[in-house]
Amino acid sequence: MNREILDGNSAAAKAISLCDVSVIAAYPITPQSAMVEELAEIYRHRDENYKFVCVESEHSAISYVTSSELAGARSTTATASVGLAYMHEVLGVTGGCRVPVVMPIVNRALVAPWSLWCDHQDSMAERDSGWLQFYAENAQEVFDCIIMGYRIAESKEILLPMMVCMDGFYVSHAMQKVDMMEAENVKEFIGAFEPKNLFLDVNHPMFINNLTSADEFTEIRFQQESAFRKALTKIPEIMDEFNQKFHREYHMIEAYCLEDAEEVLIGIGSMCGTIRKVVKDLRKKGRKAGMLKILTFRPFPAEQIRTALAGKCRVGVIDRSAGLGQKKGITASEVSAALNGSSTEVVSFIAGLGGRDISEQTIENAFDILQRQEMLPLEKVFLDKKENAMQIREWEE
Amino acid sequence: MIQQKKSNNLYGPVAVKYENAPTGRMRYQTPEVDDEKCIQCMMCTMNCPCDCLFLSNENKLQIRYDYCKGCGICANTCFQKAITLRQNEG
Repeated sequence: MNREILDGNSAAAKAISLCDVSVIAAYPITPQSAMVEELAEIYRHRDENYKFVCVESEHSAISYVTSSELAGARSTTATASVGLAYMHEVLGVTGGCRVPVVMPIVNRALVAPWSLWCDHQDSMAERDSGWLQFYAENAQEVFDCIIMGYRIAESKEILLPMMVCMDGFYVSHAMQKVDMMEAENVKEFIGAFEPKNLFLDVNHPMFINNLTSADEFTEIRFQQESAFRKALTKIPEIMDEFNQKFHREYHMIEAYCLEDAEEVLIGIGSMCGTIRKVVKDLRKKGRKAGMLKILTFRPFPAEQIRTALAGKCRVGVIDRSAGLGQKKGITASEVSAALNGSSTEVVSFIAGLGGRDISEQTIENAFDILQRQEMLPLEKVFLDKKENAMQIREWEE
Repeated sequence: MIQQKKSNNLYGPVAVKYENAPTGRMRYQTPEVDDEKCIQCMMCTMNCPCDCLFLSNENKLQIRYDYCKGCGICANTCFQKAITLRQNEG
């Protein structure tokens, strides 16, 4: 096994190059640019069976990739922020036509205000597009999730596209050690690309994505929903197989010091590393802190979360997107729904928007609210908000 | 050349034969032919954008209701006023 020092972008590029992807169509956008540059460099040296296409926009990129995969070539792209928002229309086509594209997303805030930095709003806005969503904590997880992703997305029971999300800059640009695997082992694990559903073939013509009336629309949506349900049982099986072959253990949710914990924080993405550190420190001080990390946001592992949190009184969920107009943040709402009927109280925290660091202090503050306050806040708490939020600009006439 | 193993079920919006895309279901008005008035000039068959009008073996004008969207062009091009548009109920 070889070990390299990579950032999240390189880890994704390396994983894609190992997965025998034939077509890449991508448009660079901060903070994903480095990944596309690296892929372009790798594909420059490959033969005519591989193609790197410079497209004029993200909308074209995902259209190109969806169609080339329908024509029988494993294809991918990558994007971030407004690029993902620009893909929105075609994301539904990829999901609805059940084209198993695996696409890395580098999470960056959506406008306005213009921002280049980490925030989950871009991918959270696409949570109902019919894509699986994995949120990686570090470069190693980005690498492994992409490899597992091809097995999961392309498996006959699932056939859904997948986003592998990593936090912009915190994961995409931070150098970490990544354990790689041999190309032939990866090939053995994911197999050669084989069209299993809709397929463009002149000898057996198909009219794909035809106008569908109310007569069949519900049925086609139900097909997608049942694929998500099957994914809930199939993903753990594939993760288990991955562990047996490559000796790295993954689960849809990951518990840390959870069993006897009295104050629990739920996190998603890179913040989980910091939460783990704070839990460790609080445990040394004698406080019973614990953490639950959600790796797969779609399908949402509601039953597993319910089982893991059984008997807990107070749970906090940190969202890295504002979830405007909702009483609770996006992940917090999903967790609340999963715990519906139980006595667990869910507190929604918002932190780390637009690239603000979710520091150890921020997480300690969240644990303090969970531990000390008698009446827990019912509405979301902006954990790291400045006091003068409403007066940051003064204007004198 | 990559080939697909033919399986029994395909998922998602796809038509593998003509009958899979019955666009007639979105029709809100239905054209009906009065055989007494029709002189089989075939004006309507030439103007129908969906090729939904044809002459049957008994030499009668017929409409493929599976695909007719009820646009009304046939009724408007008929010199004999042999085609009337019936509003769908409900």
